Amino acid sequence: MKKFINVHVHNKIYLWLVGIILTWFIAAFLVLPNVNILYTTFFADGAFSLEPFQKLISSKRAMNSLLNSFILGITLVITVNITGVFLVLVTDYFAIKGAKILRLVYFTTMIYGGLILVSGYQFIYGNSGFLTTALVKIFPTMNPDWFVGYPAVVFVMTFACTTNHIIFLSNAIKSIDYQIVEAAKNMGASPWQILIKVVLPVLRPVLTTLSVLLFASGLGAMSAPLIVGGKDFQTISPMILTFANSMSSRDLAALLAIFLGVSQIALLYFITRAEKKGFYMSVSKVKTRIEKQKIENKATNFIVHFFAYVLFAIYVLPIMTVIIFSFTDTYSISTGTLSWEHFTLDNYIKILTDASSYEPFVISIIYSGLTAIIVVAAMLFIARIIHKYNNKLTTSLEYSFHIPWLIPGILMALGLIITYDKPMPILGNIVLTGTLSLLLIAYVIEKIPFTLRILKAAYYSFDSSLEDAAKNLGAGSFYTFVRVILPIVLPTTLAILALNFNSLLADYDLTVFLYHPLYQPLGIVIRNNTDPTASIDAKAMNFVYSVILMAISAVVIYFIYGRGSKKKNIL
Amino acid sequence: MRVKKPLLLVMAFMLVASILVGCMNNDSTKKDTATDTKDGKKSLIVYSNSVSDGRGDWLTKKAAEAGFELKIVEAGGGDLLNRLVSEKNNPLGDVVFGLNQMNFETLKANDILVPYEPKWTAEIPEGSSDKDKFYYPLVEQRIIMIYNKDVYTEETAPKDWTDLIENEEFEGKYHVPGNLGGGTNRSVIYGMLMRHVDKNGGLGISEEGWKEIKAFFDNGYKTPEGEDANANLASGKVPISFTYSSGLPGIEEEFGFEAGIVSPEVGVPTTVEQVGIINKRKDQDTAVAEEFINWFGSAEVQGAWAEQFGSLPVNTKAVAKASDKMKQIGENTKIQDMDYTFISEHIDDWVEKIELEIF
Amino acid sequence: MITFQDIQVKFGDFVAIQNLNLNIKEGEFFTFLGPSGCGKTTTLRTLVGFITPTNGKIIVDGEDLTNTPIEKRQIGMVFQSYALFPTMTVYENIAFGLKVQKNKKEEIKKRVEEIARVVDLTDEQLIKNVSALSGGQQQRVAIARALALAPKIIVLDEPLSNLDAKLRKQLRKELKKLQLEQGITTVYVTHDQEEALTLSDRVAVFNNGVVEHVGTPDEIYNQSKTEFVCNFIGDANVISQKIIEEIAGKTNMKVDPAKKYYIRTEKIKTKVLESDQHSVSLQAKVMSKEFYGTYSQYKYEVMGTSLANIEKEDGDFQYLEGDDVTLFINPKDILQY
Repeated sequence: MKKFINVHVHNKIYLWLVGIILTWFIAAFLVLPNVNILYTTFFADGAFSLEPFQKLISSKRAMNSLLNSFILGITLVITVNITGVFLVLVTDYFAIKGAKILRLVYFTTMIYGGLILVSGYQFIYGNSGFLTTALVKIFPTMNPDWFVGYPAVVFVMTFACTTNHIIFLSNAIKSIDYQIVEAAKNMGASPWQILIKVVLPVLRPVLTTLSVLLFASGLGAMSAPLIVGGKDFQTISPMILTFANSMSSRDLAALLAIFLGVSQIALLYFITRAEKKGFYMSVSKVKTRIEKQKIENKATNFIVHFFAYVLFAIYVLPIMTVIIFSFTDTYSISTGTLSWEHFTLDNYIKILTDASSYEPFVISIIYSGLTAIIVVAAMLFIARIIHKYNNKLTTSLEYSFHIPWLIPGILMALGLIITYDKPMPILGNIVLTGTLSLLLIAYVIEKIPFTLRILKAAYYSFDSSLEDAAKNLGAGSFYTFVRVILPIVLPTTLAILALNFNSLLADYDLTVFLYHPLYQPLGIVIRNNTDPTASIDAKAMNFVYSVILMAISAVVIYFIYGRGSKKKNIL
Repeated sequence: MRVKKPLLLVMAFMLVASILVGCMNNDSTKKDTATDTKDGKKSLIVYSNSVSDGRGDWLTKKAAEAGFELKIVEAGGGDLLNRLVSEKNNPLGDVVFGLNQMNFETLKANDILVPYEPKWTAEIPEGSSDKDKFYYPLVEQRIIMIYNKDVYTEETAPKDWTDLIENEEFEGKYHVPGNLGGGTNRSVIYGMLMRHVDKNGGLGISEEGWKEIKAFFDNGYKTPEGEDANANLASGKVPISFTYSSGLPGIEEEFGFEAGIVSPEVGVPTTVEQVGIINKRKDQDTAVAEEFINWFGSAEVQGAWAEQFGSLPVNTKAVAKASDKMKQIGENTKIQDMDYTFISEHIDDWVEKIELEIF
Repeated sequence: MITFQDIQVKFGDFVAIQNLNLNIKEGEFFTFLGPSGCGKTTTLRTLVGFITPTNGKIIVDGEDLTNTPIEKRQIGMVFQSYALFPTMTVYENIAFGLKVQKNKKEEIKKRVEEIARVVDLTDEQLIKNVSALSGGQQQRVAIARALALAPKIIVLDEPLSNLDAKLRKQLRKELKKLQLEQGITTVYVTHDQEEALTLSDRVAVFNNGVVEHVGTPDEIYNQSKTEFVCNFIGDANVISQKIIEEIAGKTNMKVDPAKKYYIRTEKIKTKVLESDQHSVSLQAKVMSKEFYGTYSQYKYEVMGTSLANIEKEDGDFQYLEGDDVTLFINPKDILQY
């Protein structure tokens, strides 16, 4: 009895301790900086001012950008879903010749993105791109600047944003019980009817969540509108970045960011609701593995193959050019021409031998690695608490951890700076600006929501009686966690670890305000290299950086997905 | 058993990473404490936006010869200013140079500088430095319009910025900046706006001035991110652009073409790169920083710098070392007469207005 | 051995278990029987320790276990879903509890092999991953895992519900044999009355959080204490007021109009021994027949109401729809509530 009380009290103390630490963390890093930046922007002179509202509302550019961001979000939901569903049908549902290689190429969006990806597209479709040059030769009257504005942004983003479809949707298709397909066939349904009436409805919950994410990425799009948007298709994220950079215009940045935040809250609400409705559970006890469907109609078969390989070309061309151009000099890169005499290995040699060239890699790898590990470890623990103790407190904990989703990275960075550029009691009077830890903290915060969502889903995906069983066999909570639960969620954990790691390697938006000046991460170096005043071969270096980045990401992805693909993984 | 492997991998990685970070941390604290004279080396952290095109490496090397161990932090003008302001309670840098007088005014207002007096104050023109002794001029940059000589001759080229607006022939043929964060881009803006100062107009500029700037942006080629304005200039795609004077030789060399310089009658904007000591508060010993500035601003070093990189030094004794090209620019262009106090009061609002209403 | 004393379990406002009192004897095979949601699993989980009762005590071997942590209770459990650890092999699953107790490697190995033999698992199966086994084999692993720690009590929560009918019957036999061999006190939860009747020494029938009847299978079947138990177990006819009055008129049976009268289908006979002085005869007409192989179920019209009975398919009784028959009911077989 005494022992029991001891255990019970210990448990209570432990929970209290966890509670206090979490409350402190949320207050210090999620609430205070963000409240602070909102306060300082809107109560700059001690009184609330509506001036920024008026400025934005009377600005045609700002209003157009808002509208454009919305249009982009909605367009992407349509175009990416169509493309994504098609990709996944090609790789996992239909019997397509060369599906393996197609799959590999469709996977490439996982290893490169942002500025690098858009530059890759520019090399094909831009005014001096290969396709444009070829087309101009055929149609001399054609405008070489055709790849600009709304269609160009939609084109680039449609193909760049299919990553989540490739991950989540293909898993959903694989987990369809093949018997439902056979049942439909048995009742005389045509392949088309089966696809539309049976297969797609099963995927609908996943598609709903993906659509919400797509809308969010359209709304917050940065690189593509910046590079190919041109004058007529500007969006809000680049504007936020510009305004945040100018001290006197930060109120505008904050206001625009709040708009993004409010949209995110609405989205979050929809996701949660969609999740509550629940993913379709397969009702069958004996599942049959899905079999690839042969397309019997010859014309249809040809059309599907044709588009599968058109997509293949769309995906493979930009990445190929980036790789090829990494072996050329500045002249080739800035003019977009290729010839044997301009091929060189100098850029690679420089990066591998010159400390100032490879240092950014080391710094970024350490930062990304640490962040990924810290955030995944912490969220493993917190998601576990949320999973185990389902009450009002944990629900509010869960919602608090979604705050970083509501606040764009740039604004969060500014919040951290203006809050912790002076001694604050809540942090033990440590000044964070100018320290190495500031960037790490920001990275961790940024990655919390996504990691938490995925890990929570992982915890909910296994039979809860496993835990009971372990307890019944005498295992304590910790032992149960380490020996039983962790191994089950490990594949998902590793996947999210990899995704976090990859996504931070070349981050710029968040990094620019927070990095330690003596330790420049890769994103900063890459961006500085694109500056017109940058040194002569800086641009050439960027291609090499890009290729090495892709290589690192690819290796990481391979370790997670390549070998153990049979393991159960909700990602 | 199979589970253990990845777990081990992760743990190993964690270990390595934390050790590395530990090293990094130690490193930085070491540097922080050893800013001053230890082992006879005088180490300094220097913040600058004016060390691109090999200037940083050159400076590090020369300074080492003079006994300084420099660690240069490079960033664009806007970023650098933001960083300095955000770090004001825990500054890492010792010296900042390269920002213009308006940026230094902001630093001064934020209590980020320490006053001092370098040995070479007598060598700079009177009245060219801050009267409170917070910062001193090093290099003058004229912001000049340039064109591709393969496309235009002196006759066909524009004569002034206003030509670009008025003459339809130049529509889409000149580069306009896509962002107004940096000093060079901003000076183009105020160079045009300051011709229309009107105390009763919006933000101190007459309606005509705003119309002009709108037309300037509407008719120009707004170089998108990822595209190089200088490459466009060289290829003749967008044959008119602008640059800061010491950047010109680099552009010509990199892209292998010859640029013509436009010299408007009204003059060209000029920005002067300044140097100052960062206020680190806690019992700061600025001796090394002062020594470095004495060395760096001296006629000898500025002269060598000018010779090497074609800059136009403020130090009167160093001007002679400037390249012919720079001297030529100095002679052929005259400085536009502008009220810089007025500009620094309004430039942020102007930029915001342009961002909101014109872009 | 196990005593539930005034156990009450509440989830919020919902009372899952109401004032439960039960005694389970040492070595007994005791079954909790009832429809889903009746509280049988809740009671079981309270015994194992997953649920702390809001009121009452659980006493095992004279020791109050109400607040003892799960791992200290020495009760082995077999889960409905088996809850086998999917990342481990069969061996690792069975050895799990032994490893937790920090037994020596050789001892663990010895014990696992011993238990594996008891539940008929081969050495090849031991090194397999649990997901590679069939349902029946997984079930054996789950039982072996629960037995590995030599618990005082083993509890099984609907352990056979995921198996097909044939396998269920086979495993049922093995389970009973195992229990007899090991002599271990067993608490078994099921909604399947056949399982309950064949396996158990005693059965507790649950309904809406209350135990309606505790007794041997024979008792709960033939002398069901409540209307619910009577209806839940086996098939029973409601005897209409008309018929019961007819029977009462022919015997000295007293009829209470407030009560309901039942008779099990197999107790309505078409033939009685001549010595039988008590059975009352009723005129009936065959309405339908359902063939079940070893027996058939007949439905009759009797005095405008219906009754059903079953007849062995031994070839003696072969009536067709519309035929007239005489049915016999012995008043002592009539259950009244």
